[in-house]
Parts: sequence; C-alpha cells; structure tokens
Amino acid sequence: MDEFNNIKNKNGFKVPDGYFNSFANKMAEKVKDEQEVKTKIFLLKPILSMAAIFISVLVISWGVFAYFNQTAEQITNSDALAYLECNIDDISDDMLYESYEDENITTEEVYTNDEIDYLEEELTEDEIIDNLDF
Amino acid sequence: MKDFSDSQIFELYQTDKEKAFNILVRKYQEKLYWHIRKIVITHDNADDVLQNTFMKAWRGLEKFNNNSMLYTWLYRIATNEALTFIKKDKSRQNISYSNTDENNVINLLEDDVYFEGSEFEKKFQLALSKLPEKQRLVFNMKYFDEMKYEQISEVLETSVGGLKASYHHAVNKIKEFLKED
Repeated sequence: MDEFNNIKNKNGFKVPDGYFNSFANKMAEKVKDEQEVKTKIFLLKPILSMAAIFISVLVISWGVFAYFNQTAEQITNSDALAYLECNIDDISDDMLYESYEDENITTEEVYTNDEIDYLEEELTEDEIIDNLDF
Repeated sequence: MKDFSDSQIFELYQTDKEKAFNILVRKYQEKLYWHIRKIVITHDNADDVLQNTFMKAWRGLEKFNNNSMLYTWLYRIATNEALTFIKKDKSRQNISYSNTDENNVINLLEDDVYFEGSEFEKKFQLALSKLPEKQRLVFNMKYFDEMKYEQISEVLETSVGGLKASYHHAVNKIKEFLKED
C-alpha cells in the first residue's frame, strides 16, 4: 500500500473557508425551525380536530336534508297524481272543494241569475220532451 | 470546545436536545462530510447529503437505543443517504458514477471548484469510481477513514471476513488501473 500513502491525506478535495463552522450553525437553525413548526402543530391540533368534526357534521346534515327534501317533491308531483287517478271514488266532493279553496270559485261567477231561476223551475214531462235536442 | 463522549452527549440529550445535537454535529461533521464527499464527489452534493444525514439523525435520536455506537449509527445514515443521492441523481440526469462512463466522473471533478487535485489524483478517483459499490465503500472506510473492520461491519452489516475480501479485491483493482496508461 506504499504507493497509496502519498494520496491518503491529499486527495484533491477542498472545502470553502469556514464551511464547518457555518455548517454547525446552519443545522442548529434548521433544527430550531423544525421544533417551532412541531410546537405550532401540537397547539393547533385540538382546534383543527374540532373544526374537522364540525365540518363533518355540517356536510352530513346537509346531505340528509337534501336527500329527504328531494324525495318529498317527487311524491307530490307524480305519485300523488297516480294515487288520485286510482282512488278518485274514495275522495268526497268536500275534499275536492277544499283543495280548490284558494281559487275562490263561486256559482255566481259560473251562472247568471236568470239561468239559475230557469234551472230551479220544475218542468212538466211534455216541456222536457220538447226541449230535448236529437 | 470541550470534547464530549457519546454517552455524555446522549445524557445531555435527555435534558437539552438542541444543545446536545449541536455538540454532536460539531463532533462528527468533518468525518461524515469526507466520507460522503468521496461517494458523491462534488462539494455541493456532499453539503446536501450531510444536511440530510444530520436531519435524519435529529429525528432518529429520540428512538436511538444506544446499543450501537453513535458514530457507527451516524455513519450508516450518511452512507445510505449518499448512496440514495447518487441513485436519484443517476436516474435524473441519466449519468453514471460508476464504471460505465469515465467521462462523467472526470467532468464532475473538473466542474467542482472545490477539487484541486493533480492528474494522478483525478486518475485515482476514477479508479475508485470503477469499483463495485460495496468494494468502494469498504476501501474508503478502511483506507481513508482508518476504521476497524468491526466498525465497518456494523455500518455495512457485512461479516468481517467478507469485508477483508472486498478490501483485498479493491486494492488489486485500483493498482491495476493506476498502472494503465
């Protein structure tokens, strides 16, 4: 190994002046920064956990509300109509009139007084036959 | 600065982590730097790897069980970081640090402002770069760092017998290469 002895301590590699002194200081700063970040995360952890729980509850609640709201509208629009068509005989006139209450329809708007008088007259059999239109 | 033993550093770490770490860095930075530099060649690369090494050591000190020596533990981290670095750099730049492309090693040496070696020293580095990875590590640690085989065995997790054989082969290959014109 004698031929290597010359090269052992001078392999050509150099370092910048003051490198090792500044390196140790640089590492001290890096470690300090990392510790500060870790401390901040540790302090914020409970707040972040609470925020995450709150947001999860909001999202789930909104989802449930949106689902049931949509379902109710579908029943009103199509299922209700199908039900009425099948069960119209079971629905009384009063129930139907109640559903039109908001429209304020009265007999006075449909018939005139003369027409009402005419309808209320009792007609003889001959008068009825004469009025038939074949 | 007072010389601290590893056990003193470890004891100080229990009460003042940052101060203990600073002492650790100052104690081992030069040895680790030169070990890394011989693997990654340039100063800038060695600086990056050395920082990574000590940051890993900082994060790992909490769990360090003191069964192995602090020095060999640090050496192992440094070796792994340096090898990882050259593998990443190799695939990123599609270059070789080993025996398939002499020009790349020469270029790295010539481009590094912190290499002022002679032509012979360049040739020597080239000879080292031609060795298989393990042989190169063993040669560096045995020849340049003057580590005992038992210590190298702890770092590389290889038997002492295997290390002796690696070192013997490395020396012969370097001699053969240096004899070439």
